[in-house]
Amino acid sequence: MESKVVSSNESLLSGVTRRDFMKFCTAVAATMGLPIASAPKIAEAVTSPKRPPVIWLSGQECTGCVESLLRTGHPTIETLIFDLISLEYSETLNAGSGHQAEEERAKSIEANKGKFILVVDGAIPVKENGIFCQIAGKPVLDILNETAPLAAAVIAIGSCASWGGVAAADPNPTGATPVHEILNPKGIPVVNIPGCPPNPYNFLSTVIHFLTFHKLPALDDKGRPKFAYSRLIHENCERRPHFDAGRFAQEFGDEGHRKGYCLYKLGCKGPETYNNCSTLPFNDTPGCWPVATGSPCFGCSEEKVGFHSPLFSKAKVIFPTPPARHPETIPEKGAGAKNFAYGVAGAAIGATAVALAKRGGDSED
Amino acid sequence: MQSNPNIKTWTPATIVMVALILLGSGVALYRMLYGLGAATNMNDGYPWGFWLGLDVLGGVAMAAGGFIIACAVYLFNWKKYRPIVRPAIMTAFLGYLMAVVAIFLDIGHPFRLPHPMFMWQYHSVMWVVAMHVIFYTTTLALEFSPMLLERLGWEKARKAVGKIMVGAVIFGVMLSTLHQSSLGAVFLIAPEKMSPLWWDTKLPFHFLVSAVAMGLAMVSFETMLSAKFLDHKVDKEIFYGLARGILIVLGFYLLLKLYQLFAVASPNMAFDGSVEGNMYLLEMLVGVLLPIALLSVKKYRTSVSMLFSINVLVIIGVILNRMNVCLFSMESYTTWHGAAYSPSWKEFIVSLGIISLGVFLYKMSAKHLPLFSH
Repeated sequence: MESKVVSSNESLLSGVTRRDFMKFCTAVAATMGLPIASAPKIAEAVTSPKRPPVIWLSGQECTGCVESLLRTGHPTIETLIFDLISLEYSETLNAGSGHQAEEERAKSIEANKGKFILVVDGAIPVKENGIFCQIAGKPVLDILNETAPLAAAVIAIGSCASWGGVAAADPNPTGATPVHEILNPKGIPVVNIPGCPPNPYNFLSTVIHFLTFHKLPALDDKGRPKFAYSRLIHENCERRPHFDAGRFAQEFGDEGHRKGYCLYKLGCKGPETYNNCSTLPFNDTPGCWPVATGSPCFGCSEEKVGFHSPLFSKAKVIFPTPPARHPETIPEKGAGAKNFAYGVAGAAIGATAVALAKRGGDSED
Repeated sequence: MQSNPNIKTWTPATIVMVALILLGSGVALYRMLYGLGAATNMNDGYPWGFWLGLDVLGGVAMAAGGFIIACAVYLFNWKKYRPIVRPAIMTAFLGYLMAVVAIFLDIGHPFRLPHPMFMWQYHSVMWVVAMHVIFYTTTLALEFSPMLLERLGWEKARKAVGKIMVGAVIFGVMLSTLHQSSLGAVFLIAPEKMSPLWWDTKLPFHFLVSAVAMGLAMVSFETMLSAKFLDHKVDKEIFYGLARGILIVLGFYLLLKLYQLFAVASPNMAFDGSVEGNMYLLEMLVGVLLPIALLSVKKYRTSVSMLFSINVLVIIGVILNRMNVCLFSMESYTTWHGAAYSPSWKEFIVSLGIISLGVFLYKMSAKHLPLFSH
């Protein structure tokens, strides 16, 4: 009997080896903190021929979320997204355009009523009936209001869709509003994947969780998946030992900054931002997240922090309790006593040379 | 008896020494008034510096000749060495006095120096060291006292001391062996700091054996100097005997060091170009290998001028060893922990002052006491 996974793997993921594919499924399970035993289940779900359709709406956005999603390194996003899910409509990735594309969207929504996943990136302007962001002559507010009630699940990706983001920064001239503020009053739950951009795997894992278990992952009170957003960046930060040891970069480019000390005093918002940046590398590249490169976290994924509090203001430390034991940090390198040692050595060599050279004259009688 | 008229008090060397003593006293006073931080470059990474390495560890090792020669003469009755027993005891006494002065200046609370006598902490090696210094310095004072009593002409006291002399020497030998080795035992507390080139549980034995070699070399060295400068006439056979002793002890020491190198450390540690490795090589070359090589040749062993050079080599080598154990064996640890040390000029001046004081007192006792009468 042929395995369903293997056969569908052959037909759908021709560019991916089975080994790579299973590794991806295991990694996704690990990201969400699911048992490894659920990896085959995930594999089965993502290779199922019944691919759930996805409608991707964009409001006031910069396409950064899509761009970062396009650059995931596990079985590449085009393979995964186009083969796992059926991406019916996305303004960034649509093959067609204009009326043709709009027609397809309407058709797909009609055909997949109650089954499709709605992904939204970008904030929704509501001032003056949302005229500040229109697609095909229609305010995105209206499109969202029409589409959302028909979707199986709504995922708001990025800080703009989750909290309003940069579009909602003061004075917010367009009345940019997060998706959940529009849909929650109508009784439609929204998953928030905040971040500017969010780690693609946080989004991907949420989607795959839905495909596998037919329900959304556990969410916190702000609608964020708990597997990704339950810990402060500060809690697992690679520079945390420096924070605990009181070693801070005082200004950009100073000695402490160059030595990799804690960036708290430069305005790092890690202590008040919930995200898994410090534990899950962006796009599979360890050390490419802001703090690792010496740039303070600006709290992009936290409501009222990113785009709201000044970049260089000091963050509120939510749990200021000092640790029971200060971890060992890599200390400054001292000069030791090398110069002294070689000074003594020089004196000893000199004295030895004199002692050996002087013999045969002095005290011999 | 009278002072020796053949020894001139004020020679240029003596004037320099007295100047150094005065200068050193001035700096020592400064240290007492303003503290260790102001006077030295010692810090938390290097709590033991130049004073401890050279004046205390080196000074005590230098003094080992006292108990060896006293043991040879008073216990084994090797009459040949009687002419040098008093200078040897004198050296030991002065060496210990110098060490006490250095410790007094080196510890944070100098006036708590007598505390170990009243507050016994017999689980501490430091306490053992302190009590040994106290007892042995007292014993050395007793062994030294006949010279003073003869000079003063107090015959009754002289005879009384003579009666307990053998007992004092036995006590002194016991204390010395314990004390030399317990100075090494002090460093057993620092296995993670010291390089395995030095650190081992056998470090106390290394200290004892190297102190014996250095003690013999020191007695031979100073006897040669006093024969040249201080009107001391000695038979050359004494030097040859001491040289044989040095050769035997150094041979044994070499075995200990080789065992350490191969069984505890590893030979590549000595040759990796690190500070520790280089200092180890220098110490072994100057203090052990070269002297053994030279002493193995009969021609050199029976040449007083060559023996003088060899004595200097052994003394330098053992002082290097003490400085290494105390300071340079911890290079990688202290570097990693952000510490740096190189002595301040004040530390140098005090050390020079202390050494000058020792040499000056030795010379004065050669002139005014029956140091060389036998």
